[in-house]
Amino acid sequence: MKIEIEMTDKPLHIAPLRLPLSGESGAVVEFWGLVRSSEGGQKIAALHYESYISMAKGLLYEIAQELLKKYPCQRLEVYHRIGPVAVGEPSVFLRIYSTHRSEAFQLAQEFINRLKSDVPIWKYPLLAEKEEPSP
Amino acid sequence: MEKEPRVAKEPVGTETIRILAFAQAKELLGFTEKMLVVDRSKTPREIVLEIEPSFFEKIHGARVAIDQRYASWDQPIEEAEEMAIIPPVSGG
Repeated sequence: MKIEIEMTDKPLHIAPLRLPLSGESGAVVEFWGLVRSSEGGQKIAALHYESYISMAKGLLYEIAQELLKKYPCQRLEVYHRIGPVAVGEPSVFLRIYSTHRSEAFQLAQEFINRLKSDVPIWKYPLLAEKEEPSP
Repeated sequence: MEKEPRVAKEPVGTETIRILAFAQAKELLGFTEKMLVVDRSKTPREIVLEIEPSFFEKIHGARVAIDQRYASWDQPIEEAEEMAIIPPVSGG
């Protein structure tokens, strides 16, 4: 099982899946989380992500290890943006390689749920006319 | 040879802890990072209430992390080097 966690203040440039794979994986599930144009009924220009990065990375790794015991998969890649992310841009990306699709789908769903409920990352809407984040 | 008696730099049972505040906690407390000399028998709840008595009325559902792990508000900080105040998270 391989786990790769990255948090970055740069735009997410994810290398496309390089096919063919070795034949070990029968499924690859990818998830992109994107910034919507409205937040709480308000039009926004971007979301600003703040994080307690050292703890967030450690916790993402621990959650990955825990969930990979429940849903055995071969590889999990996680990328999360911090700082401002414009509407339409990705803030989070997951890629999971597994023998069968079921574990990969379940791992993706539960991993994102845990990320949203436990990992010290916060987002604030940036309105078009405002420059500073407003928590 | 007798050892030199240790000279305490600070009062017995106290030591500096790094306190980090994020998101709404940062706005309410007015700092992102603060070094504070605290009594090691104190709990995170007591420390935060000394800084801001209305903290828990103003920020609901905040958690605390001791040395980068979620911890109880009501366990003494003991040997902790870092205490982070973590309002409800919203990543993803």
